[in-house]
Amino acid sequence: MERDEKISIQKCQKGDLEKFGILYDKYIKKIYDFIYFKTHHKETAEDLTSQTFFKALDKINSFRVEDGFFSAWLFQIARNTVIDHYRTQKYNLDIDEIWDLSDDTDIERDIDTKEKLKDVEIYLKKLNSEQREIIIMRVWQGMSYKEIAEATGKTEASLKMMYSRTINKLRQDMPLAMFISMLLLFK
Amino acid sequence: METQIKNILDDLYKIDPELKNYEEELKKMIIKLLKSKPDTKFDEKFIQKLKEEILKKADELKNETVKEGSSVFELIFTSRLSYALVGAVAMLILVIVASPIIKKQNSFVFDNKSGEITLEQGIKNLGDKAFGSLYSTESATSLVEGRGVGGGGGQVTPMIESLDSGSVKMGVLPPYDVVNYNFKYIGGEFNIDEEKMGVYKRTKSESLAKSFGDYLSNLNFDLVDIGKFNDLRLDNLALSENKDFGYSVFINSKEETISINQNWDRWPRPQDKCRDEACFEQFRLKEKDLPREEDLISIADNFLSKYNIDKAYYDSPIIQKSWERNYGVDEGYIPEMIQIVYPEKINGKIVYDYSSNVTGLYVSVDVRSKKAAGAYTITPHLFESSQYEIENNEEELIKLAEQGGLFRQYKSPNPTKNVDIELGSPEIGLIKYYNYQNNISEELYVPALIFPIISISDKEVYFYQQNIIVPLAKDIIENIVTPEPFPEPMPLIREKTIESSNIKK
Repeated sequence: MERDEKISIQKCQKGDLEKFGILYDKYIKKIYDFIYFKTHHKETAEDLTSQTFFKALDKINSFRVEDGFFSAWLFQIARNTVIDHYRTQKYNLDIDEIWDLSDDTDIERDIDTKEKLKDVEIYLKKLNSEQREIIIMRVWQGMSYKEIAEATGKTEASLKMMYSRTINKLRQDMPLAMFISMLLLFK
Repeated sequence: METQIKNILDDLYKIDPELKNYEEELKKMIIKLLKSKPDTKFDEKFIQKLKEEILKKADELKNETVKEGSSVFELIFTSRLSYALVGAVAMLILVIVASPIIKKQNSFVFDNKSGEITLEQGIKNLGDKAFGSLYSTESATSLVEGRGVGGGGGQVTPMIESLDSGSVKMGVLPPYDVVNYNFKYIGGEFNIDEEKMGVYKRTKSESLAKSFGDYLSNLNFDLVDIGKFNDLRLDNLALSENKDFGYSVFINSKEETISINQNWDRWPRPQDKCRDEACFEQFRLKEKDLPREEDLISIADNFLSKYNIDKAYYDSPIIQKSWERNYGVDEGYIPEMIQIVYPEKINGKIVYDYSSNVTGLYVSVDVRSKKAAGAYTITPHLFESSQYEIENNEEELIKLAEQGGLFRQYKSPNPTKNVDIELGSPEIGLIKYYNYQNNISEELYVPALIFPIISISDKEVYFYQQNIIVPLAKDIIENIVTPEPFPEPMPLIREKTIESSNIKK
């Protein structure tokens, strides 16, 4: 954890809660995108992002600096907030995020996102939530291994192993035909 | 996108080189993934609005926090939480000393959840002569007084050991030798190229006292509403471990120093129960009780390590042996405590005190129990630095050294003894110097040449200095070292001395 971040957290815990603004600025984009990629819906993502940061502000004293990374704690709040959102809507008790829902549900999704994802959605859906998160964080969110390791609470070594295995799985799952078509598409 | 793809692939190959065999497939897959990335519609207006709402909420929570202070008396006297409180505070204190290097100035963090306190450390460079004059009348007075205490030479030296003890009578001063110390430089040539060097001033942020004060003012005492006092500062704090061989921790928040001592109430000393000399003799320490030097260092190191006291700003430890010179094993004296000093280093230069000894972080070892008995002058390494003109003329500096350096020697026209002292090649160090101005004491560290004392012609004479110190800052040389002739001994003492000598003859 960076020193400035640690100082901001400690100041918040001391009562200087204005310093939460520094943490907000640092993480808002990452958390919003993280939630959007789990919901595919702007308004829902904004709502859940708000809930995430309000929860974090309210519970900042429960975070122990010596126990781990703030980002892991914050991402876990975001993750739980998304899970709570779907479960309270009673789509399905096993639903953690939009990827777990079938296409025929009436849940709201941004149309352009749905369209963009049509070629890869089926393969990403085959991954478990953890694998998908890592791929999305690395490829879509552009986060470094170190950042992802911190955010997921894993060691960098185990994260890299999981990432390479997931990529290999995706490679095997995606049919050759799709690659050929893509090749034609992007040349 | 090409760069992004290349980075992703390169990272993958580092993890699993086998994947390179599928490079084309992987590349296409990653292109597809990247092309499929949805637009998240990150809305700056929403982000700004949410931030305003969160900061508003933060402000509300802050006010609630202040009102929710706990009763200290309830905590301390009605439950076992007192142990938790004491433990937490002790933890706070011990963590202070473990503060790592911090780059910025003037910030202080007190984490009342984890009990961690972070003090800043580092050196801030200021402009030239930023501390003003290094000389003040009060400082000069202090130095002169220091010479008297230090016994640098030219003074009357007690020679009690040469007397028949029966001749020392009440009300009659023993005879004294008037010693002239003659310093001779025998070291090699040296050059100082710089015209200016850094003078350092220890700085304090005052935030420790204030933060402790702020924290305590939030607590709700039953007897007095502490919160009603304004701008409270906690000046001192003392804590004790309630166990055998426990320690007491003293925090001087104003000075930002910490010392750890034995908790005397709980430190077993078998000789305390003695009521006669035979009993005391039984417990008197013998030479065989002295730990080996490596064991002393090991005890000190382990103590510092256990309490997370940072040694980064200190040189290798040195065992102080002044007790050997003063008394000696031969006389059957073995001290109960032995001091180990970790010399402080500022920008790589060792710090010396007025007495010409290295100074810094001290650890005392209890010889009887073979345990560390405490540590002293634990303080953050936080300084300001400013360049001052220095004297770099080799001849002039040797001349000053041969006059006695910082403690310029008075040469008596009628010495009863002459002692020759040889000085070796100097090193550049820092002399810890207090500049008193307007009732404020500034702790300064002034560059100085440290001339080691190689030999003393008369072994009977006790000359306590191990080095001759010549400050390099012109401001100090011109105002303190050079102009002031050292005063002769008080006439009354001299007369008595002569009188006593005559009586003996």
